[in-house]
Amino acid sequence: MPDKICDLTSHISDDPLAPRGFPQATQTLCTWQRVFLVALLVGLVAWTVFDHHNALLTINIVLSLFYLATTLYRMLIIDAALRHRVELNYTPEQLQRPPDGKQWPRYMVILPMYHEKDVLPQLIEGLSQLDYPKDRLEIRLLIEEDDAETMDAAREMNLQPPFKIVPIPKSYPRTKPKACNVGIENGEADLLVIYDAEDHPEPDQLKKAAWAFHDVPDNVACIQAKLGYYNPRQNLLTRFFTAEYATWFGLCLPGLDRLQAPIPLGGTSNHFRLNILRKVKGWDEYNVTEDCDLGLRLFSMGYRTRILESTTWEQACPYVPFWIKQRSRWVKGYVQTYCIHTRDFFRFHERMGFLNSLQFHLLIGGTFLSQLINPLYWVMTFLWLVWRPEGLDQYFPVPIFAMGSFCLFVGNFVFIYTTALACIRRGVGYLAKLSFLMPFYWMMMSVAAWKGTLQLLWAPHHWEKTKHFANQQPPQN
Amino acid sequence: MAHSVNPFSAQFGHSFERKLLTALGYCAIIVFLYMMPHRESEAMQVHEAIVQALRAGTTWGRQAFIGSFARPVLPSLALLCCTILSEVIGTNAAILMVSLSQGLALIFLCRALVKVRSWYLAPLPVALVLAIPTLRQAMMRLDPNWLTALPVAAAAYFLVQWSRKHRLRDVMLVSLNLGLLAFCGVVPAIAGAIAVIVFYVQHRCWLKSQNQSADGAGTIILSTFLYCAFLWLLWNWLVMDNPFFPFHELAEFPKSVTQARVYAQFQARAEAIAACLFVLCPLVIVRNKSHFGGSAMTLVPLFVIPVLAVPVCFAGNIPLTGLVPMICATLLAAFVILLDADFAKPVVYTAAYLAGAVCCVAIWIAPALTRRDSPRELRNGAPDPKEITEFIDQFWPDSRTMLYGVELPALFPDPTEQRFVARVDYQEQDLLTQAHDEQMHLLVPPPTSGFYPKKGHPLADIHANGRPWLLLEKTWPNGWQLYRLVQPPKNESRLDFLRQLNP
Repeated sequence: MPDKICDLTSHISDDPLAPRGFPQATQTLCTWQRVFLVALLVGLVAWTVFDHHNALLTINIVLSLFYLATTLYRMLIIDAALRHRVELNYTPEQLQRPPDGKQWPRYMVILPMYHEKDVLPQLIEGLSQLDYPKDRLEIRLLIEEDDAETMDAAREMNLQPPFKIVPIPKSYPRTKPKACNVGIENGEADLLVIYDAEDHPEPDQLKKAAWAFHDVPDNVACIQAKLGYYNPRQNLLTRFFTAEYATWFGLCLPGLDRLQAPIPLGGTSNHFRLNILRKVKGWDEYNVTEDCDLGLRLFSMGYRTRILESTTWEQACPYVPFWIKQRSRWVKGYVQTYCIHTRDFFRFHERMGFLNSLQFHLLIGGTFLSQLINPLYWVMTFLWLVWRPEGLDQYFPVPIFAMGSFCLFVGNFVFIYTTALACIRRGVGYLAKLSFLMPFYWMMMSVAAWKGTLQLLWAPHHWEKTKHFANQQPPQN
Repeated sequence: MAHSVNPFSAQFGHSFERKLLTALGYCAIIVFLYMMPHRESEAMQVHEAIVQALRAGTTWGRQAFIGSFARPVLPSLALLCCTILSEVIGTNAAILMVSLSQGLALIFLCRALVKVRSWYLAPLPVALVLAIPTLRQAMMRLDPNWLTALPVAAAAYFLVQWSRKHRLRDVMLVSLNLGLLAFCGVVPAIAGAIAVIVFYVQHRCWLKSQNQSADGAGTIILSTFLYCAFLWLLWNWLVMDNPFFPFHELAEFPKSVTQARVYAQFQARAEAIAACLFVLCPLVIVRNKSHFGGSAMTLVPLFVIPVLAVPVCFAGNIPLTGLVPMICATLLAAFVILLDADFAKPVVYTAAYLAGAVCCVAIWIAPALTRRDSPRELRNGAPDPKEITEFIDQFWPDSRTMLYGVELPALFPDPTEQRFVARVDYQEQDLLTQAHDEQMHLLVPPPTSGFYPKKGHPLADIHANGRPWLLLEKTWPNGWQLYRLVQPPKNESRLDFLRQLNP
């Protein structure tokens, strides 16, 4: 192995919660969080036993206020995205020459792989089409040492530069972020991007990102390209998934960018200034959504993320069991990330500022919490609509009823409607009609959210790997 | 078409001073409208009663809030919000609601004019309202249905934006505002539905002209209106146990309207209707000649349908829910859009000519269009509530009086339901059940009062034929009747044993 330029794997601290010098997901909850959660739980149960009316009423009021706040916040994000296009965009003419007029910055592409033999040929073909000077590019395939099949397949392909195979030594935790950290410990480059094994980035994406880094201020550490799916027509699930991604990358992330809010990074196509990434010590190898964590860590350290108008095409998971696994990992990671960042509660809020903290709670906390409590409110709504049970209304005094009605009748429609808008904006307008069936997809999201949250209790670091299928036809660039 | 550069924008950009100045200007418009003298209206009286009952949590409050075409949801909701706000800031809720609706509508039109022409023309819609007595008089009427002008004006503003930039956000907001008309009464709802379809066609044509896919355009444009309509049906199902409840009221309306009456009403307003059509000509011409053609065409149904509905409403003696505000707002919106018409040179003269034509129509049309044979008053000879209670108290001090409909209970507001109980829908079985539990009276207005359709309505039948279980206790000279329900409360009749023998 070449000499390390930086060490992103060794433990430098005795603190079990921050072995590499920053808060990590070695444990999800710190002591005070555990005490607080247990006390809260016990307190609520006791209150419900002794005075169930007031206890349930209070819980309902708090949850309704939370729902209202997240709904209004989501509306704000989407309006911000629709008002002005903030995505960094470049014309083909601009991309004819390097941003500084002399030479293109050195680019490192990393691809963590584990049991990806089947998709390797497609991957190599897709990456070969990247329009970037080969002498300024290095593509690293990060393959686990014990993954003999992928390693053999890669070696059999007799890959030439810019491709390079980087074996990842077997060590724990065996996660994608650990592989990424190992993969960037050495090597010279100005910029870095991470792709997944099934990714097909638009050929000019690296050039666009290079231009973008040239144009934005130095504190922009990351540029996130958009993700899209190349197999939306495969089945209903892939259609739903495509519509959801269209909303997230087409409206939500640009909206967050416009609001200058913390941006949880998407799993791939994150372009970084490599020196900053090394400075912030790379990814948290214990976190199962290391991308989300890194985005927030960068923000809390004063760095910013911008959105690039360029798409990386991925494969939408077409089967429900695999989809649930993938989604449960995402939710688990969001919960982990939320808990980790609020460990040092007061300093975190002081560092972020009031508005950014609020946005963090609404976005990160709001995402998983709403998915967890949605089933409860769906059941109550169903009961109210169909059976109208006696006594349910005592938990809905007029202001709470008004808030609940707003979220039910307006909020849900806004989410559905914005999905339709996002589909049109992302060029998959034929999926707009499908947005009216999204509530069924939300139900699946809630199932996955509960699975992920419960899994956090017994297997917090278990990585539910996304299954990639080789039989899908990738897009023709 | 090249758009003039807004010098104000160019000079000040989006500076704080500019925003502050604009906000102050907007506040001044609303404060001015609030300070204007206002005339009471029967519509406001009804909506105030609905809000009062809604806050008290009565069944009638919920029913009247949802289940009436004549007294639509959105004005009641806005009045409710303004009532709560007024308690905090100490203003008159009704005036606040009307002035906010009018003010925001005017602000949208002013902003549209800034987008179309230039910032120095921004005060023109306000000046027009002040200068044209008809519009001024209409705006002084304290009618909660002025809220209808707000989505119309907002739709016009976003139509202008759509014409200029064709952004997805503008498409969404035009659709949303037109969709909200579904909550503003039957005629605004019909006009909104047609306008949404016209807008969809216009947008689709534009997409095709740009070789862009129209996939999903129908979904986002039509779904807002459809969803609003669906919500309204859903709420009717939840509150009235019948999603189509208001349609029954509407279905009874043709029974009391003859073709001859409608014809007579049209004839009486022939000049005004012709004048309205005069506005349509330039709008339609603009369709093919101007950058704002699509916007102009979308405005056409918002203008034509209310104008045609006015004589029909008069013929049926049904409230002109939102029609006058809608016509006023659409006229001003047409004025704004026509001001930029460029189908002849020089542009300024053409614009001035067209806008002048609209003003002339505005001056002339409204009084002719809304002229009444006899002014409608809500009280319409109704007995005084005190008179009724004093009469009942002579023999039945605990008896409550049952009232049916939306307008009639608004005359006898009793949020605590101590003396008057109200329901929107007449359910005979429920009334009889209640009469078993307590002593009740029933107040029935004459069929000519306009509180219910003259033919086919159960109250019309009761007024004419009574019921075996109703005892007529008092009749007023103008035909109002007060009945006592002669079903004795449970366990209070000496003949109760007969009930047990023969249940």
